[in-house]
Amino acid sequence: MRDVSPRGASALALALGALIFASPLRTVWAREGAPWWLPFVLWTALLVLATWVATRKERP
Amino acid sequence: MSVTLPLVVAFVYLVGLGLLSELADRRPALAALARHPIVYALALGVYATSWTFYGSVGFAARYGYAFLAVSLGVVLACLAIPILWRPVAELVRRHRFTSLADLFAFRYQSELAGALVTLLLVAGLLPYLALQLRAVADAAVFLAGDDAPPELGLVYVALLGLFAVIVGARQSPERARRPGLMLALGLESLLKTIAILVVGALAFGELGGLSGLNARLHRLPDLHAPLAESPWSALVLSAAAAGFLLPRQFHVAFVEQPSRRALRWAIVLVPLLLLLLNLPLPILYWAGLEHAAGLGEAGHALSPDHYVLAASSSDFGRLVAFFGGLSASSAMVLVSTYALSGMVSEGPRAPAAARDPARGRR
Repeated sequence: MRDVSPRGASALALALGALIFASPLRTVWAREGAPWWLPFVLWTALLVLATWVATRKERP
Repeated sequence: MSVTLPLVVAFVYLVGLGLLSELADRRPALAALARHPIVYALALGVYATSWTFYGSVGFAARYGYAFLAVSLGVVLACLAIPILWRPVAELVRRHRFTSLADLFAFRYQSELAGALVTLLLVAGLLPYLALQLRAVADAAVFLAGDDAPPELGLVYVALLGLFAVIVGARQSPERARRPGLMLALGLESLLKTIAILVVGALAFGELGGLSGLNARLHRLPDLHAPLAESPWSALVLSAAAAGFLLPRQFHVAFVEQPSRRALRWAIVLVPLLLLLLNLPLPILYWAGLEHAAGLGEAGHALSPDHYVLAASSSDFGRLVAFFGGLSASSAMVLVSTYALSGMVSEGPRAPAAARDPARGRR
C-alpha cells in the first residue's frame, strides 16, 4: 500500500466513497431507525482515507 | 432584536474584510499568509453559501438527509483531486488561463465555445447571486420582526453589492493572483464555520444535550425516511462537478492556486470543512422544529429556512446565525462577480496563443 501512487490511491478512495455515499448501498446508513450520526461517522472515516490519498508521493 | 444591530454588524464586518483584502494585496507578509495551503483550503469553502446555512435545513424538512448530497458530492470530487483537478491545474498554470471560458476555448479551439460558456454561466449565476442577496435580506427582516421597515432588504442588497464592487473591482495586471481575495475568502470560511458550530452548540444545549436529544428523537422526524424520494444521485453528481467547475470554485481552485502542495492539503481539508459545516444542521433542524412547536399556531408560519435563525432563543445566537449566513453570502457574491466580470470583460483567450506560450499572449 506504501507504493500506491496518488492517482491509484485517489481512484481507490473515490470508488470506496462512491460505494458508501453514491451507490444503492447507502441504504445501509440511510435506513429508517439508523443512528442520526452514522453518515457523519462514515464521512469521518472517509477523511482518514483522504489523508492517506494526500500523503501518497509521486514515484520519481 | 433591533433593526440597527445586525446592520451595524454587517457594515463593520464587510468594511473590515475589505480593508484586510486591501492590506493583503499590498503587504508581502499578508500575501505570504494568503498562499498558505490552509488558507487555500478555507477559501475553497466558498462553495458553502447561504444555502448551506439556511436552505439546507429547509431542504432537510422536505428531503431529509438529501441535503448532505450537496456537500458529499464535493467530498468525492476532492478525493479525485489527483485524477481530475491536477491535470486542469496544470493546464491553467501552463497556459495562464484566468477563467473556465479560457479552458473551454482552449479545449475546443474556439473562442465561440468560450463565449457560449460565458453566456451560460452569466445566465445561470445571476439568479444564484440574487438568491444570496435575498437570503441575507430575508434573514435581516426575520430578525427585525414586526419592526422591519420595508426598505431593510434593499439596504442589505446595496451593502453587499457595494462590497463586491469595491473589493472585487480592482483590476490586477493580466488578472494576476489576488492574495487579498484569497485571505478574505479564507477568513470568511473560518468565521462561518465557527458561527454554525456556535449556533449548533447553543441549539444542542437548548435541546438538553445528548440525553435531551435522545429523549426527543422518537417524536422528531427521521431524516432517513424522505431520502428515498430525493434526487440523491443527481445531487451528488451535480455537486461533484460544481465543486470545481462553478466559476467561483474554478477561480479559487485553479486560477488562485498558490502551489501543488496546496492542492494536496485540499484533499483532506475541504471535506473536513464541509463536515464541520454540515454536522450541526440536523441539530438545528430539530431545534427549529421544537421552537416552532413551542410557538403554537404562529409556529406553522415559521419557514424551515429560518430554523437556523430561530433555533437559539437568545439574541446572541440569532445574531451569530445571521452573521454566518452573511459571511457565506458575501464570499459567494464577491468571488462569483469577480470571476464572472473577468469572463465578460476580457472574453476567452484565443486558442492559438493559449496553445503556444512562446508566441505570447494577445
